[in-house]
Amino acid sequence: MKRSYQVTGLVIVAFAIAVILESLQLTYYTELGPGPGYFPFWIGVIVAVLGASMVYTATFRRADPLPEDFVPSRSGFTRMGVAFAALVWTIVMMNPLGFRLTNLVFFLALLPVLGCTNWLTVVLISLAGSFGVFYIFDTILTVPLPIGIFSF
Amino acid sequence: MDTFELLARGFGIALQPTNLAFAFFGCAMGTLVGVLPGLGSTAAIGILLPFTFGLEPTSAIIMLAALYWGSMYGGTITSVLLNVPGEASAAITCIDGYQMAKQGRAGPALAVAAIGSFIGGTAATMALVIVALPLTALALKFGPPELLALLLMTLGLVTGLAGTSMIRGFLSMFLGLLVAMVGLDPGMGVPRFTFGRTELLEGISFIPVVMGMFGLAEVFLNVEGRPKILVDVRMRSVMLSVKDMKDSAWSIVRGTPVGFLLGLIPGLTGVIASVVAYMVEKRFAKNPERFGSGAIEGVAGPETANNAYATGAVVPLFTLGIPGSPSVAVLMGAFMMNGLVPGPFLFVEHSDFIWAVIASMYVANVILLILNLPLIPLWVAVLRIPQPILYAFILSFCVLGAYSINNQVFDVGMMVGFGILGYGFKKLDIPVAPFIVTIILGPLTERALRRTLEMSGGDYGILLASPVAATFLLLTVAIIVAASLKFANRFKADTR
Repeated sequence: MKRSYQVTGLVIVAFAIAVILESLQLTYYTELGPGPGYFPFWIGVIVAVLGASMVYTATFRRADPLPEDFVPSRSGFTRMGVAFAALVWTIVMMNPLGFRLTNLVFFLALLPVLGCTNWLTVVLISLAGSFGVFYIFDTILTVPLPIGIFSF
Repeated sequence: MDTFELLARGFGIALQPTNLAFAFFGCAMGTLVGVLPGLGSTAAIGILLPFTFGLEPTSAIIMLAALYWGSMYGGTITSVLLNVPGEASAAITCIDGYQMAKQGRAGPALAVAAIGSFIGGTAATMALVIVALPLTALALKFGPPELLALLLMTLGLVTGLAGTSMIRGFLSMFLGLLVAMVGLDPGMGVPRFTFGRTELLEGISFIPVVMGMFGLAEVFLNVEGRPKILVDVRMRSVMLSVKDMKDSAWSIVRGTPVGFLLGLIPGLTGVIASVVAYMVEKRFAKNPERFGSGAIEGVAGPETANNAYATGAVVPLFTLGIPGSPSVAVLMGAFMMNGLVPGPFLFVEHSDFIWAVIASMYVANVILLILNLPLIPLWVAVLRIPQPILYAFILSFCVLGAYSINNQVFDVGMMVGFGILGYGFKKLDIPVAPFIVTIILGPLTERALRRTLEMSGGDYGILLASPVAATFLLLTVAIIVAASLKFANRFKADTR
């Protein structure tokens, strides 16, 4: 875990420095007390110190062994990657394609990768998760969901 | 006519079959809405409001109030079973509730939440009847300086959530405070860290953060590894044992006044009540290191406080016409749409109505217990759903929940980003709870500080001039000193 915490600590310090620099663009203090830049500046300083402490303790203490499942297996990476890609798909396509079609593809792509191998189950669950959920939210609960350019 | 006679008349109205039916419907809808991530009680009351236009005002308000209480419990179900809080105030329950579910104790977690909610809600309703007016007068003495001091003390208590490593715990806390800085500055209205995005002007919404850091992160961790058997759903395992009842009894006793008193103060949210109750339980526990690993007190206390808060939050509405929280503000809208103006005159001009609503609060608590306790095995059985289907639906509902906040995909993107951050936190053993809590407390504290300094013309001495504020500040200093000493000792031990 030593290397992990050293890298994380350095990333945090870099992030904190960026926050401090950004906060210096804002008013630091006013007649009535702290300005918009005051708290971000000092919180950024504290975060930088904590990040540096993380690097220091990771470097000078006895390292904990990496947990067995810290690095995912190849198949684990694949599953996570597909889950992430499916989420990105919904972000990108929800407005143009609409909720129903976007979610249909979401379920059709995700279920087999996660381990659902029966194609009938995949199709039925995909229809339920897209058209079924749309009906419940849009028609029964009147929570508007995107229709998309195909009006579908 | 004295208070108890008025209450008895109120029960006479609340227990009419029509009103009972509306209360039952409200409780059921509220529980369902609470289960759905992103669709909180505020939105649910807003959605159902138009359907009440054709109803008698008493029946309409009884239904909406029952929905409000129902959503508090519904949010707990997904917190415990799926680590996805259905309602913001149920986020704290994820910490120990979900761990209990992973240990095959989802049933006891849900049972103690239901019983604690019932006791907290009922006791708070009794307190409302007896002490509403004098307590409201006291709560009105809570101005910005007192609120600021209370929030600073609560921030100090957050150090108790730091976990095994103080560095990582404090990092989580201060990173949460940084995230809370995004948006318009409360003093000067200047955009901070918005990078030109109008979606960020109101800050980062709490719901996508919580769904991402708890729900999505947990799904990522589960799909990367080998499938695990999640829960034991045998009937005997869904009941509370004698030990569970003993362990949670005092948590319920403590959670009730914590939630009720915090509910009286306008401007605080149910999340604050659950957070304070959780930290109170951790401080009182003989073995606080159990918290975070499935301590039943970590569910009983916050859930009791949550429901007691919900009752406390309607007290300023009934007595002064001041809504204590966003959900109560929508409820206030319902009052006004039915020709009833909340405030002290409500008790004089519409006493039958107001006492019927108060009586229906007792009734709603009983209905929720009857509705939800027997359904626990059914809820727990959700975990029998094959994991690929369960995880796909969890991801989909999180997307839906995040989208439905503001009808924009930006919030979905925000949730995914925080999901990745939450995954990283869990991999590196950085506690998530301080991050979540400070996102809520940060903006409230900064706003309170600005208002305090505006009142005093920039003079910090106003904090010491108020006895209440000075007491809270003293406690804050003591908490921070204790936490700093603990930090220094751990730092020395870590680098030896």
